[in-house]
Amino acid sequence: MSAALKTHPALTPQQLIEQMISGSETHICQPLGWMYDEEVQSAQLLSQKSETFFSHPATAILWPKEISSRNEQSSLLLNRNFCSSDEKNGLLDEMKTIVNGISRSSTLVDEVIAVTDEFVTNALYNAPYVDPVTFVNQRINRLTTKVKLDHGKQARLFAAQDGKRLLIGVEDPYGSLDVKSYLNRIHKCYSSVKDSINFGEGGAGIGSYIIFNTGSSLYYGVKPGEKTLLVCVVPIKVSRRQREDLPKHLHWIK
Amino acid sequence: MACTFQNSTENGTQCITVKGAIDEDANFAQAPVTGAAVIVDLTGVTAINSVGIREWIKWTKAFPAGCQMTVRNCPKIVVDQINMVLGFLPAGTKVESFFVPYYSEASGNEKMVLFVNGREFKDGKVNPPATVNDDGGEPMEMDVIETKYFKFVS
Repeated sequence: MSAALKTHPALTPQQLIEQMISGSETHICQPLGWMYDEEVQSAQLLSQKSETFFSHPATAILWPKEISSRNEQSSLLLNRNFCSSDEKNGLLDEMKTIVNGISRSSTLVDEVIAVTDEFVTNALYNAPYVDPVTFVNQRINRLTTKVKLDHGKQARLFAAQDGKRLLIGVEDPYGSLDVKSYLNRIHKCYSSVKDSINFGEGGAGIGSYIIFNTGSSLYYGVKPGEKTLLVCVVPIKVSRRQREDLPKHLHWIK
Repeated sequence: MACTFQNSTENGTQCITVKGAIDEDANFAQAPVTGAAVIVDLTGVTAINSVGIREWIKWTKAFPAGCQMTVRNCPKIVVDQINMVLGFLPAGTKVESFFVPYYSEASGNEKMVLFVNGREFKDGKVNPPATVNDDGGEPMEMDVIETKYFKFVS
């Protein structure tokens, strides 16, 4: 087992975040978590070949032994570039159609839409804002302002499933995510969500928590100045209670 | 679906029916609360995101001092926020009714069951229906972790 990979019997979500912040490992998998063996396979692949995550994220997570561009393309249920906040509702509708096609669970649909909404919003508003070069959209008022990414820049939303897991991924072309801050923001929410909310302009500051709290596994990687990629994995065809009770996996691809 | 607010009066009390997604496009200025009490019907809320949570809290904070808020027909996504965000509902808010998801392992079907104050919950205690079946007659189980989902009731 790679030194970058650690297994824990059953950490709470808060403890998992703490472990990732303070520990040296970049992949933490929990044996009682959803699809543990598959998560370990992906962690082993990505700790040795991190580039695979950026080039073939869907197959690296769902089929880590079958990496190819062809498999990657054929596995994608959704693969959309976007650059404007005007496109958000259309993307959410597309995602809803996909989830309705694989499950009758309205609670699953709600959860996937919640993740997708936060992913799309963050890619449009936060990624450019925190970018040290463009620094646009800073503290932008999300209530009154429609945004577009810089000319020529596009984010991408994608989804894939293997019958037991649905993954939702988003990449932006900025590579500006500060991972430590990101983890700290999630961690703070476990103490008090209300105290974590930014009541000024800009984001509410709890979207990352909503994403992490919803999924059974979260993958994130940053190529500074180039790309940020986040993937949330949600179990499908299991009850909501089971989804909520599962220990989580966490993967930081460096 | 864009968020809409429909104003009406119920026995002299302002009633606001909210429909659609509560997000950055939700314009709470369309739903000013001016009286000593307000009933908010949430049955049509389809989604709520992080910015929507913030704007909801700002909206309720702007209620007149001492305003008695009642919420009814809270969908699961709203119950999740009530439990997750302390202060999502102002102190003293009455929850008249809310939905609870049920699931059948055998059929994979899901159903939302309305829990009404005084019937399925009262004085901090939950009294779920003895049986819930799906449309095909398959027995269903409550699909929530009770200590988490009913936290706001106690």
